[in-house]
Amino acid sequence: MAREQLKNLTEPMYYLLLALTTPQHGYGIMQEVDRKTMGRVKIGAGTLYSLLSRFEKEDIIHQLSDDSRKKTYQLTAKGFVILREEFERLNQLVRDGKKHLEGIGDSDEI
Amino acid sequence: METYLEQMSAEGWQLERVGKHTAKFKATEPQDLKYYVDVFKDGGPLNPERDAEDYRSLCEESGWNFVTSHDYLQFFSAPRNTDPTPLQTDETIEQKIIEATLWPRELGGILMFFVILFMTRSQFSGTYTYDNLLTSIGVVGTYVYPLLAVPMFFIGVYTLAWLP
Repeated sequence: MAREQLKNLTEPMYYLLLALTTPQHGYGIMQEVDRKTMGRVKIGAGTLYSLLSRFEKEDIIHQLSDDSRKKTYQLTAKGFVILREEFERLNQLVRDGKKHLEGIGDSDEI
Repeated sequence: METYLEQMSAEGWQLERVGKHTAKFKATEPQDLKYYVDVFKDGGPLNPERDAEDYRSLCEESGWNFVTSHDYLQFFSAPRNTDPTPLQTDETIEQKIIEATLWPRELGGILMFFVILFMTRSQFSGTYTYDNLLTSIGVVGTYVYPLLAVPMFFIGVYTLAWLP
């Protein structure tokens, strides 16, 4: 089955990658996302597991060490690039929105 | 399925084991439990135990107690008042997991059903004389496919009814 490449990240994916800028194990990610979004975005364990194995297959995240009982993950270089690009894209969306919704054209800080 | 398990649990029947067509319950005090049945892509005896363990421990950490599994179906429960995050929070992903798991697994059965159906049909469409019944091979040839078709029919219907 052909897998479509990641284009835009979904919200849970974005927060998952954001959480993995530092090493984190599975449940740690869930807590981190919950904390960062103050409970707005929740990732279920089953969903998280399938996202993690997919990201790992696509070399976006990697496992740090396998000797402890819990697998710990972190972004790969490719993962950082993808997250960065998404961050820029979201910024662009906000800037474009501002022009129309606030009438401010040259805001450099979001 | 979850609703059924929750009702059973409230009446004091706790799910213990699940087979292909059966489920085993244990009589206990009535409990107010929530159930979640998840599809785990790499489940079943043919896949590494390590993956299933990782998956289950992640689910347990998030508040769901593993009850039992049958192949890719994973049964979890949690006391209702703990209100854990559902195991699947993304419908698109959930749908993908189900498609990627169920089709390959159940395709064999469905294919078998149609092969047997086809064989049965070709038996009946041929010339049909009583001479066929005079030798044992003739008897077997006449009846084996129709007979095979009966269980295959039920398995096929069962499988198809399950899919959605």
